[in-house]
Amino acid sequence: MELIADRITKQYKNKIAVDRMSFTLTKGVTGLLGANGAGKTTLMRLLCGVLAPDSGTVSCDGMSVGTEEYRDILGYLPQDFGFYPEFSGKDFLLYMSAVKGLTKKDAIQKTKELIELVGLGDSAGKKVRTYSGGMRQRLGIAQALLNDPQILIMDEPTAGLDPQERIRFRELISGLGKNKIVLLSTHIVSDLEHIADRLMIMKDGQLRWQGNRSAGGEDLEAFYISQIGEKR
Amino acid sequence: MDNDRIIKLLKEICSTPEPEEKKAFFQGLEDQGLISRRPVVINHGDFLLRQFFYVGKWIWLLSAVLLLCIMGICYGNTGNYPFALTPLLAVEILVETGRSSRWKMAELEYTARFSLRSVMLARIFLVGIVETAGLLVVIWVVRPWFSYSLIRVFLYMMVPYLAASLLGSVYERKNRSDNNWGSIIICFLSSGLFAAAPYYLSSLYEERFTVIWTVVFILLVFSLVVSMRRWICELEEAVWN
Amino acid sequence: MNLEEQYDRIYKYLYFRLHDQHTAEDLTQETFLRFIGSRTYQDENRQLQYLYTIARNLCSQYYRDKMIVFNIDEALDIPQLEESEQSLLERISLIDALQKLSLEEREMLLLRYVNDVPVPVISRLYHISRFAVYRRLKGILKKVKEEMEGENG
Repeated sequence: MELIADRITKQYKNKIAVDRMSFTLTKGVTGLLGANGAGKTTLMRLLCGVLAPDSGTVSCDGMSVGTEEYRDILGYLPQDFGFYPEFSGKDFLLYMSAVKGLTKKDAIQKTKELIELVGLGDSAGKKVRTYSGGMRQRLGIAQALLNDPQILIMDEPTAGLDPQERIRFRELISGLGKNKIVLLSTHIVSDLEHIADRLMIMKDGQLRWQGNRSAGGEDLEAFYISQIGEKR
Repeated sequence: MDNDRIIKLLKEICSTPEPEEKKAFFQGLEDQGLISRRPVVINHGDFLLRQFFYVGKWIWLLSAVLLLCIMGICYGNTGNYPFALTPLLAVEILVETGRSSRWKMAELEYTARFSLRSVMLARIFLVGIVETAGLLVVIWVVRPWFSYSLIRVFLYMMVPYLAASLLGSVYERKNRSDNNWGSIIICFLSSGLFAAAPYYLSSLYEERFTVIWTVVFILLVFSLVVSMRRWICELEEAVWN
Repeated sequence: MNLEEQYDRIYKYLYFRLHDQHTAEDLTQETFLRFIGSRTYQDENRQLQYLYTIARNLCSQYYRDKMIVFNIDEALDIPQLEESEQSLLERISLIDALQKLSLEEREMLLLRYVNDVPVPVISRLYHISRFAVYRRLKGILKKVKEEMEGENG
């Protein structure tokens, strides 16, 4: 399974958010590194088929992104999301299950499983508005997994997580990465150190570097800085 | 011996022994990551039904109260004023449809299988259908209390309702805000307008203008459909900018 | 498309083409491996068409068009809801009638009425129009009916 981006470009008014990026994503965890404003979120939205590129194409195994079939195998965690005010954590997941098309039976089962998986067992019945930032993030991760997606795209998934939660998150992702295409974006290098198989480094809308994580060496931070330091 | 019987017999004689290796085969495929046992998916009908239960209870309550009020006022028979209340019904539709963007759920819903468009359409459809049905019932009930024909009562009730819906949806489209106060105010203004109309322009309610009301009605229906469609399209784009 | 459900149906189809449990299951698995290997996400009918095409090709490739055989002994073994002698006779009569049909006619019956293959898929498998499929099916059923009634005198 491959998610292929071919010279995609997206421009807003005067700013080019994504500038002729080309890459192929395969099974495993790919980390997308870049500063805030580098265009990561726009890129992810392009890959979700939700924003259409001004030029270039995105496709997955012959499927056009943006079709129902694609959304069926997609799990997405946006950087910023809300929730209907009256929802409890469980309600939220059940609602998302409905929109993702799960049967009621599957919805209940999946919700139960995922609540356990992300460690929200005690708070599932409480209203989401009472949740801490970290808890909401975990809820977001859970909803992305409801439809057993084969492609998982997460935008700054560790934002708001405390160190312990981050570790837990890394373990979770490592496990998932085996049979799925996982793309995580972050501006925190240490998030990716141990879980990314591949890396993409982005600056000012351009893909500055892509390759295996191992090529980045021991000190990923230094490697990152060296890559974005030079202009091509 | 009819065809159904033949087919039934055919199925019977074609029963085969259970394939023995099926489970192991599929488990193997799953282990190799060639397939994933994803949950079975619901159809659009079920989706609509499920969305029905997510529409806030207060919406139905408010609609019921409004419809009863309309009936009550008609009974009291104070001229053409009852018609002014129908725009308030439009508030529900507009508010409910805007829920996704208001609560920042739009991005999540967009990437789900049924997508934001289906969610919004479901809401418009559900609330719209129920309210319109309610309104039609009310029209039927109150008709005898007026000197007008059924068609005229229908037009006088529906036109303000559709007009408010149209204006509200256009407003929402142009001004994507976090709350729905804009369209609520529009509905109240429409109400006010139609309340004042019988007083200042009472001639409008005369028999001879029925044709004009009919034309306006038809135009409103078309415009409303177009406007709603545009609203959904633009909302889908708006989520990302 | 529910793969496990289709597995049962392809197995059934292959069983009646080849009349051997093991071979049928082997080829069923081979069919699915090839199908999954190059599956594109097209609409369900096209996927079904592809699936059956693979199965049919495998049949003719490996086992040179064995006829669809309906074995009388097996027909008697099948548990039936109505334990009547008449049912039994009807079945035997049906089997006899089916033997008089061509391979293609038997196959079409099997596909349409036993495997619930949609008409558009059948029409593409046989390269004939949907209208032609309906006509042929009607004709085949009529033939069968006449054969069965003819026997009873």
